[in-house]
Amino acid sequence: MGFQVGSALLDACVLSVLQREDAYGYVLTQTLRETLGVSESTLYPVLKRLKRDGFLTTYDQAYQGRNRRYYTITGRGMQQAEIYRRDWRVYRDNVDKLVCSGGGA
Amino acid sequence: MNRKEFLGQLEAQLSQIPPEERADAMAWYNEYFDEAGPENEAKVIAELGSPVRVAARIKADAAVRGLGEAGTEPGPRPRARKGIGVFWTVVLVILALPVALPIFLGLFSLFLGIVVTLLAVIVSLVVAVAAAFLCGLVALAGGVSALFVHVPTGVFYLGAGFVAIGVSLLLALLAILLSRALAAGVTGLFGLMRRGGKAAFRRGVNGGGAYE
Repeated sequence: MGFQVGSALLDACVLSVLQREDAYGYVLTQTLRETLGVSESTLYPVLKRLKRDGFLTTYDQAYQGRNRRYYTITGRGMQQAEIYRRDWRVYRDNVDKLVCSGGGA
Repeated sequence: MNRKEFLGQLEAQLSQIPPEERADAMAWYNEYFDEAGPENEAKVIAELGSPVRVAARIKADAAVRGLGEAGTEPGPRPRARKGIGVFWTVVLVILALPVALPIFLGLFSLFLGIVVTLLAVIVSLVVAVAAAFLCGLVALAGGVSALFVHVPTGVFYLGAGFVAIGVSLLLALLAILLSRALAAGVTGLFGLMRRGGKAAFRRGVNGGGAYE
């Protein structure tokens, strides 16, 4: 994809995915990679930062003799996700006006 | 490269960040490999790219976090300061060269002069010893042959020969003692210069390190 994904958009996506259900790193990465084209090494610092800011927490669960670290959204995270959604709609509409006005649609 | 090599290199690259950060990152990548499964190992490695780049990202993140936390010194700063110290040392050495080089050359010439003079003294002593010894031998030979012609003359030459040989032996003793003392002196002087030079260099580096 030709568009750079900024950290705010990444945060918004991660929090929104986690709002649907808890996820472990691999699934989270695959989901975001399909949509945004980001790699696991991009996501790792993002998750760390969100955890430090108190927007998500982790818990470990054994799976087939190994460990899976699940990420789960907190109350603060949900508030933040709501803020991101509001900001995103405004931003998306503004970009739409600029980018799509040239096409004739 | 396989998974083990990748994780090994990554861990080595992360040796500078705090242990808990490193353990966290290693756990993330270990889990990622686990979830992807052994059949996807090569694919994951290809996606991740080089361990150096992955590590650079984690380190950059850790450094930014270090800057954000109040009162904590970010990790890479002290190393940067050391680098500046070495840099300034090099600059100082270059700037000091026009002054230091003549002084160094002068000191070296002085040292060389002292050594050559001392060597000359020793050589001249050896020559003097050899000459006196040779004189003594010639006088002895002359004395022995003169004994058959005129006894007092022969005895005189024999005596003179013995005196000359005795003097040469005394001189040889003196020469040996003197050259030993000189060798010790030169070695001591050389050691002193070397130690002095090293100490000055160390002072220079530390002094440079205080710069920032």
